[in-house]
Amino acid sequence: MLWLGRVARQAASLAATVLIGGLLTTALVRNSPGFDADERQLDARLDDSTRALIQAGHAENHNVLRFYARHMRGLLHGDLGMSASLQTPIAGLIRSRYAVTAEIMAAGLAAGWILAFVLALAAVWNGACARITGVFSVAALSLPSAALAVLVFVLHGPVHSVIALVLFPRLFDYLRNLLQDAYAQPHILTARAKGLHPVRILVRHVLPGCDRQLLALAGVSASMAFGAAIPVETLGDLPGLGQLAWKAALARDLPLLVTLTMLITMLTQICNSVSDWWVRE
Amino acid sequence: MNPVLYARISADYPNRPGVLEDVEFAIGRGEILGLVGESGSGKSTIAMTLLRLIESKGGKARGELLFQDRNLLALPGRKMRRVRGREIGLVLQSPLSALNPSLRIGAQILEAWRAHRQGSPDLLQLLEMVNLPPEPGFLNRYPRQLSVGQAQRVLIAMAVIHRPALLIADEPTSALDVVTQAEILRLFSSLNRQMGTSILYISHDLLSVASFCHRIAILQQGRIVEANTTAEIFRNPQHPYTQALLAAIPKPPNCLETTTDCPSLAWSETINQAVDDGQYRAKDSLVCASRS
Amino acid sequence: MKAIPAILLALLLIVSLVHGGSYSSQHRESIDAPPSWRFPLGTDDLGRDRFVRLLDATRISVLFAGAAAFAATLLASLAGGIAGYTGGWFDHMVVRTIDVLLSLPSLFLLLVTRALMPLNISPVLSLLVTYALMAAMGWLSPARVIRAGVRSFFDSEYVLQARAEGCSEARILVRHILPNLRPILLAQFWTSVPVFILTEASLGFLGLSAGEPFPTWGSLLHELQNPLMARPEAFAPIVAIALCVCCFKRITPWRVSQI
Repeated sequence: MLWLGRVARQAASLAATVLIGGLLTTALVRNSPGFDADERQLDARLDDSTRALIQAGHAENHNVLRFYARHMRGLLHGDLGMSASLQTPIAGLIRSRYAVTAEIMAAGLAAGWILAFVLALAAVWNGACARITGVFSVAALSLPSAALAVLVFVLHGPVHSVIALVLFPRLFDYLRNLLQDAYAQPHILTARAKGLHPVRILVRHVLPGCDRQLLALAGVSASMAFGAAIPVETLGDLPGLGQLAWKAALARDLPLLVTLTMLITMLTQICNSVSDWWVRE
Repeated sequence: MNPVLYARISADYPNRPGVLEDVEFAIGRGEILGLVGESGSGKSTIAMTLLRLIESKGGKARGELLFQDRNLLALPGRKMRRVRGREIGLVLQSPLSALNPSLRIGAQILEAWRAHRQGSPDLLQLLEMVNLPPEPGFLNRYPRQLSVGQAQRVLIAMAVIHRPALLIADEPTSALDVVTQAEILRLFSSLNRQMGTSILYISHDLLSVASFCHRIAILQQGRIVEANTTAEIFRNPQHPYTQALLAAIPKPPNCLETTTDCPSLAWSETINQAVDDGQYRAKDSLVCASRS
Repeated sequence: MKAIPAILLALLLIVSLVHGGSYSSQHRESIDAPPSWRFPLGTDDLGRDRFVRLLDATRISVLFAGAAAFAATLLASLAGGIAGYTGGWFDHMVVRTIDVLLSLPSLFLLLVTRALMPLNISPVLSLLVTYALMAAMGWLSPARVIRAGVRSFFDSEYVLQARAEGCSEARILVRHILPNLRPILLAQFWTSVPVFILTEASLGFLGLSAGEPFPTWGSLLHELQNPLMARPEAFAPIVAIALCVCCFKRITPWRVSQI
């Protein structure tokens, strides 16, 4: 019973956060100065009636709260609404595009995490490695993600390695400090004095102590990976959600933007909830 | 007779070179050696160096470390690991943080066993040996459900599970209250008698060391300045630092000079025990030493 | 050896303050010129001197990133400081708000808001808006750190000691909290600067930084949007950015340990 209550509370908190996030995005997008500008209104081929229709369409989205309430009502019925710019159901757009993004994000996340974790471990275990990996990470951290993307494109590397390279230095920095602190704890010394195998010390004594931070980092890194996916998909012309978000932003497509924001917020929040949950258990 | 351990070691940390400089001492079989020094004198570094755990902290040890006819400093990492816990046990200070907070006591003790041997030991008997309640329920507890004294006993149980030839205790009683401290000291003493384990007992408290150590070495700024039998250290301290240590022992109130059976004071217990063990002829020597 | 990036950056900054070239003047006789003595980094497709533009971009980017970092730290210390000081429901509310805002995809929102700006916005305004947006989104995690710091200071032994001595709240704040908060604030400032420089670079790469003709490090990178066609000398801004961020990464721990 207690368990059920906790699940309910977590779910409520999640829903509230996503709703607030969506509302904030709506307000932000709606009130930004460029929202009313529609490139189609400058199109000379359209006659006045078409322009009036476009105007009316904007007016419909004029009141933030009314738009949001309508959007949410649709969401409750499983209807994600229509994209204003592409004139297609958003659900269909997401369904046809999520796989591309999920694939490069998953590959990028996996590669970034493995690279960061292995190097962080090497840095903590071995003083000589610490210096080399430190230089490597500072170099990667000093380059803007766009520059990393350019580098990979010039070298014809796989697309997901851009995401991995963007994530790596941030993960590495955090993981190295985390592992350093974890290894400095007195109970690790006890484990060493028992003569345990280093791998066992890592798996049984070090990692369980930082499960919470690791999960939180996983959530943050997923969010970062999506941030990196936008320029990557835009540059690489990949039909994924990042490119969709980019197109939606350029076309000032409010329903699509709000839906995408809520989707990403929800994913991040789920990661956070899971890590919260883990800690309480 | 060959000593269990002979050490002539120096140790450096990257940011603190010369933590230990040519520290030389030996521990005989079944002997309890007390190592006394102020904080920062390198006491804990000695414990870390003997188990070569100093390397995991970025430090480096040089010199000679003969244990059971092997030079531990020359052993490959893999073989060194077989020594830790199996042939040399370690008990740390601040017992509650030295236990993994997320694992049950039973699992941690069992892990100490499995690190070197197959099967499962008689855990209840082990608990009884260190004066812990020999109940399965106790093994299911987490460290936070223990008192500090109980946690220290658990650590000792893990350290002696393989009946090591040498037990290193690094200020094991500094986090304990006086009564528990006395109990733990008695436990070390009895383990030493029952199993014949040699003990290197590191402390800053000369009195508690004197109560049960056969010999005492005084460490100051990374060097051993004096080493002798307990009685000789108290009777005839050579080095000025040893003399200062002895002079710093609190002077007992007048009433206690005639009645020495006050159990609540650590020093009086020390005298009693020392007298029992026949190490001193009379309590006067201690009192005189503290006055000089 | 370690000072080399700092020296190079300082040199770049000094030259950028004293040089006489103009970032917008076109040399129509030499369009898309390769590097030469006259144009060390060549010219772009409009005949503008890349080196002069890089120098001006250095000045603008470092200055504005610094200003944005200052604004973000100020915002963060106000929100985090007041929340940590008052505690109770206000603290709870601020923490929840920051949590919600942090779970929003910030880079995505930054892109969206910036992309929504009208195309005919003036260059100065677009420059200001870009950095203002970054500051508006960059105060969240510093605020969390500052709040945690303030709370831990108020729970500390020395504040208890000061209270026991009968110090007034104001005196505790001025004598005990602020001096301890100083390194935290400075650390937040020094870490924010490179973050903003890098974010601006990514925005500029997508063509969402300051409008033409203003050069910033990011907007110079716009030239690289088709990297396979770009000349090698067009990559110079990346070197400048890496140099600068590298310096700031070095400064941060040093500055904090100084205090």
